[in-house]
Amino acid sequence: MNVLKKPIILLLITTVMAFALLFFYRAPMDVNILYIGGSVMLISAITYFAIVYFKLGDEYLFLIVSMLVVLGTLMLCRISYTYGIKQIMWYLFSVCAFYISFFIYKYAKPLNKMGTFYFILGVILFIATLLFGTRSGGAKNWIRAGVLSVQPSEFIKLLYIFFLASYFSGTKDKLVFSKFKEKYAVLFCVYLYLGFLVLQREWGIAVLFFIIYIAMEYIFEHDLMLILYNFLFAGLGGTLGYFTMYHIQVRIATWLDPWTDVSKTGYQIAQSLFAISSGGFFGSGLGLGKPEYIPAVHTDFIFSAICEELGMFGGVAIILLFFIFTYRGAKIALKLPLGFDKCIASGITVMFGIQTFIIIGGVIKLIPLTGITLPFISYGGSSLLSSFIALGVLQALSDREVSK
Amino acid sequence: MSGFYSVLASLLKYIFVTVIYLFIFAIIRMIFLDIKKANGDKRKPQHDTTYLELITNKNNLYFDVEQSYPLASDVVIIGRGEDCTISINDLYMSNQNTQLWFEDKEWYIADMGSTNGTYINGEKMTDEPLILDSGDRIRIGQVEFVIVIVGE
Amino acid sequence: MTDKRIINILIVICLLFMSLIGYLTYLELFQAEELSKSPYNQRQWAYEEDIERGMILDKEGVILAQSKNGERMYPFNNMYSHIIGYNSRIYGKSLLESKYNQLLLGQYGLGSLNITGNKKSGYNLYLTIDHNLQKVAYNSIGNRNGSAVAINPKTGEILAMVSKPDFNPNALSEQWENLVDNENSPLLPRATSGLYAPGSTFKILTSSAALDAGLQDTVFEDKGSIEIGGKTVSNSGGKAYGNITFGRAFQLSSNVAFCSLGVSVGFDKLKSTAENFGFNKEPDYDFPAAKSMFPSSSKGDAETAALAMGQGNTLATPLQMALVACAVANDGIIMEPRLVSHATNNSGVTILATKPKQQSVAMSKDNADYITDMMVKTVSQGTGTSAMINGITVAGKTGTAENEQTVMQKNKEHTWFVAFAPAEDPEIAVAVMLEYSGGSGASVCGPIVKNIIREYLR
Repeated sequence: MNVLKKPIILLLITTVMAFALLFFYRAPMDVNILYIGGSVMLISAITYFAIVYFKLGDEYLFLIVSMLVVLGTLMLCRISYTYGIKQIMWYLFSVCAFYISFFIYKYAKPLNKMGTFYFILGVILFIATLLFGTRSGGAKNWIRAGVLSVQPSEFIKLLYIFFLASYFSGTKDKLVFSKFKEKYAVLFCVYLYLGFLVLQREWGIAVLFFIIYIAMEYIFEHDLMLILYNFLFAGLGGTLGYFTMYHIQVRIATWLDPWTDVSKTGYQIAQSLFAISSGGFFGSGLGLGKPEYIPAVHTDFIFSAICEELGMFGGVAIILLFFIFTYRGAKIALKLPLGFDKCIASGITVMFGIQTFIIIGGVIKLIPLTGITLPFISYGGSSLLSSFIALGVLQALSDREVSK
Repeated sequence: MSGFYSVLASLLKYIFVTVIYLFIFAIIRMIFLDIKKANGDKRKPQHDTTYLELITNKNNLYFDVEQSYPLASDVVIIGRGEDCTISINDLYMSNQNTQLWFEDKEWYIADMGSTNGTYINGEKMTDEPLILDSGDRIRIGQVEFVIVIVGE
Repeated sequence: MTDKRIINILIVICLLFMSLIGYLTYLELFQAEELSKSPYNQRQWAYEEDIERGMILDKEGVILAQSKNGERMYPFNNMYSHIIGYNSRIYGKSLLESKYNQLLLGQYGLGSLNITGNKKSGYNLYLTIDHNLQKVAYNSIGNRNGSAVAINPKTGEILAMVSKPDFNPNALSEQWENLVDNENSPLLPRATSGLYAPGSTFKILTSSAALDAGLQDTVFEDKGSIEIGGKTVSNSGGKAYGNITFGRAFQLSSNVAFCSLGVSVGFDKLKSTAENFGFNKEPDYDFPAAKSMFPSSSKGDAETAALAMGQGNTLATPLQMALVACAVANDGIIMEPRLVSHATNNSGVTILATKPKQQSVAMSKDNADYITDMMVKTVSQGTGTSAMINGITVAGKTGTAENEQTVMQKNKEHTWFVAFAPAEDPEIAVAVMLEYSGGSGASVCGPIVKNIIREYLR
């Protein structure tokens, strides 16, 4: 089988089929959709060949992500044409951002000395969100600037990983204010971030931040007692939150049993489960299901829509793609020498892996639902942009490992 | 929705999923081949200089240590300190534990007055420097190397 | 060490992903069906709105249920309520509407490719029911509570099946509360799911067991009552028949004779015979049905004697007793009962067709012939004369079963009549049961059996 040696061809076949199907799905038929599909194909192909030809590091990362983006935009165009077109626009921007972040990371040197800067920038973004933010779906996490809506937490995510990496790659015995060990100062910063996220009711990202911290602490400092204390503290905080905050109670209750209040709090998850189960193994076929019944189907619940129309096999394919992606990320991290780069690579890999698990686990009711986007697939410029910036960094790191 | 589209979409869904899985399979296959190639390289480490080969089992150590260290310069200092030529974060090592140097076509070794000393082939070194032969075992802190002298 | 820990984290993420795939598979395999039936799943309804649900017709093509503009309509109102069930957005689906939902929505085999114009349409379901016969059976039972089942014994096709009381599936929402609260349980399909003591109709099974044991030449001394295991059993009406043969005892439905027969045959033989006829077996038909029950043990001769005449803890559905008649009519072989004959798509092409299938061998052909003979005589010169028809040899057996109400109050027995005709080459087997009707199987049920057979063989 010759195509198996060239997965890019399979990617292009998928893209062609996806947009051809969309072309027939739309009534009246719109030739623009073919142009759009063509341009998506072109961008993927050019970037892929650039990576291979100029030897810009790992060639699989971008390939996997392109497949995810194709499946995501396909689903979005099917759910809502406007969302789909917007998302493709954002994809163009994001690929530019990918190149920019790739070159910045590759050539800018003192990135590891700016831990404090990352932290403070993050705090500023948080405060800005709290001051100017607008509420959307329970979470206050958007800043509107003219026509643009930005979700700062998507970018804080990256700053947070850079901040942690600066710390874990530095000398760790240094004292801050001649009193505290730096370890505890960082811990304080982490919990400050978590505090902000709780204030904005971004539970999903809060959990993600916590796990990223634990994972990096485990890998690079290996202070098991500290990790244990963190879990105890988080457990305590969680329990306290459960008894004091109505939202958490509702989330847990709907996770355990969405059916008692299916018309209100359990509605989303019930609709998601209906969608997934109606798809069966091969799905209803694109455009033949009813994913529009799920609220927020284009963002948090896009995985359910994929399961409905592309079937369980489609859903499993998404999970497998994310798994190979995570594996490649870990591989890059493993090959790098101990230091800032290794921390960044590990942090980004853990971020993509865990974020995927949190949202997919949430929509299939394996774990309580916490709103967070599915990287590269969910609708949203901020999410796509930040994911591609992270991808650019990972790409630069894989290049470093190759050129070493 | 037109009947034509329904038929098209119902048929295409199988092909679509198949192609996606072929894609996943292709990538896994290529990654697998990559690893196989990389492992093949690893089996025959190429050394054109003298090097230290670790003989202690790495997995029992709580700190990082490489499988082999090429002795690239004429003076090599092994110790816990970060400025050592070979820096190993072993608590049983002193900051500057042991020195190796190349002189008159021979590799010499000397302990740098470390707390736990340096052992050659199991015997603790005195203050006197020694000339190393290829295959000598060198134990520093909790790690033991064997020296492989390449060339004249 | 750092590298090893990165690998550990990778392993954890791998396990998390595998749990996602595992749970997803679990959802699809074990939860999907329940979820798709959830009344909160408007997806199913919306999906169904896109499809013109298929019709349900009798074997000649008389429309029994059809959809127009998304509305399900049942032209014969109550008549088929316990066969077809209902299809309601509020109350869900039942019976055939539920069992054949996918087919009626045009899903069978590879997928839904039944497309006409711009709207998909489901497949049409043809039943084995004969509408004219159903009408006669339905009207014959009238307002009484009970059931009638008519089956072609050679093929297992159900020709008519009535359960009363019933309901009007066209007007569910108006009646619903009344239907649920009503102590007569009008939502219970008695023919297939109602369980009743079979009374003397069970003597057919006891006879088969006795024939196996070689007891056909026994002569009984019938003094009108007999004491077995400390209990006294008497004949219906307390009549004493004197010295009677096995055949005569069957025609006259002598309890005295059959009690002693039951004890001679023994509990184990009775039980295995009952199980050969389908008792204690979960039915697996193309429509929902309850399991008829024969006890797993007997406390002594008194209970065995009671079981031999269809009392005690024996419980049978009217369908089961119709199958007993089928067994006698069809040389001892029970064909699996079927309600669905075939399904076609819009262009009339057959999508699915059911075939006659043997369910079990209930008894030997010799036994069947012997019992046929006794049943013919029962109608011509025994307890079943009320079912006699000019020019047709009818074979039958009556039954009157005591139940929880007869303990306090007389004249509340369930009455039974099972029959088939023509005896020489049976084309129809019938079981009629009227609950708490009082009287005798002959007087109450006989005329209904007669109407059904006469109509079918007309």
